[in-house]
Amino acid sequence: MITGVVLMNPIKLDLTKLLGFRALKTKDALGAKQGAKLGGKAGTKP
Amino acid sequence: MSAISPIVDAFDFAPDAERGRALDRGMRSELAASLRHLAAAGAGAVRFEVDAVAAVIEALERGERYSPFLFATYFDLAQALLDEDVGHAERLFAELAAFRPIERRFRIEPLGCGPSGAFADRYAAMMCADPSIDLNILPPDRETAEAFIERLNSAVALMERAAPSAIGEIREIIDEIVIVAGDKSRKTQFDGGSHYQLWGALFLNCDYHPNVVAAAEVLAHESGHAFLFGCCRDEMLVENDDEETFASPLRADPRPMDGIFHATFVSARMHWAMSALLASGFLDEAEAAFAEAARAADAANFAAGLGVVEAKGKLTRTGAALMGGAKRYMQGAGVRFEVA
Repeated sequence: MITGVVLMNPIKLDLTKLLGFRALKTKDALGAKQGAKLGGKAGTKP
Repeated sequence: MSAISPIVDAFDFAPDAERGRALDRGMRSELAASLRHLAAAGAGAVRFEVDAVAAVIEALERGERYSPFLFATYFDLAQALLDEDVGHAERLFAELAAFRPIERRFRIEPLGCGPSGAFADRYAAMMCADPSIDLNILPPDRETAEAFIERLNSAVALMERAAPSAIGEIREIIDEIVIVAGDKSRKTQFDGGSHYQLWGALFLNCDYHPNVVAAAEVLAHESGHAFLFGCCRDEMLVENDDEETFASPLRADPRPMDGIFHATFVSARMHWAMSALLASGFLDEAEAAFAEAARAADAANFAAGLGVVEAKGKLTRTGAALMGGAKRYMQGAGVRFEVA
């Protein structure tokens, strides 16, 4: 539900014009899909 | 078939400052263009200060630089608009308008300090977002951070003399090195980290990297991830399903193929850096012994990772070009592995 704002115009986004979305061609952002890269020689503690 | 960057298409593995500058310029001009598209799409549907947002976009187009958190804000804003979450989009447009340019580049700052200090909590949240990994990133204690910053500055000075193309490339793509500590009560500890949505930032754990050569190696490692991010503007590295996981050469936990690709590629980057330091003649006996051992581990990790990538990886053209370059370098360096 939208509060406090009347949505006058639909929001139309072109994924091909968006950094990080074009590479996936979906509404998922690239960073979210790839996740953080954690250097891990330290790795998981035994 | 999708277009890929000419940088990737004609990929030569050796670090290159000019190429780093082109990658950075590409990411920032794409950010400006993407923000312009969001502002146009949001106009009339979302309330925001049009002139203030336009000023940030125009400054980006002029080459002015901002906190890496501007990239994260853009990604959040794009997601909010895609979700038609107007209230959240309005808050994010307001945050966007409040960003101010930062002149000083290649900053080395403890988490919570410097021009991005206000974003410390959100930096940590982004780096610890994977719920399957028991991890936390904390501000370092002052004494440990100062000692590490001294080692890191010495590592940068060493690389200026011994590996100028590597540090030149790093200086072009990294604006901010954030010094952090791990949470010792958590199951997972880490050397350092980076995030696609925080272009220009690296996170280094000051509890590790006990000498100058180790500090140089972790710089080569983490900047290698950033380099790959910069190559992924048009497509991913791999097309494997994220649910499918494999043994990683660099982490104890099984990782998706994208993570295996990254670990393998950055192992070659570390091998390159260690080789450059060893060839320079600037290392003393103890440093050379450390670099030799690190390089041998890098070679073994590369071979292990490459075996997984070649057996199971579904590489895009970008991924194939980049891994092909890494493999040619490692073969040229005399590293032995099964050739697919």
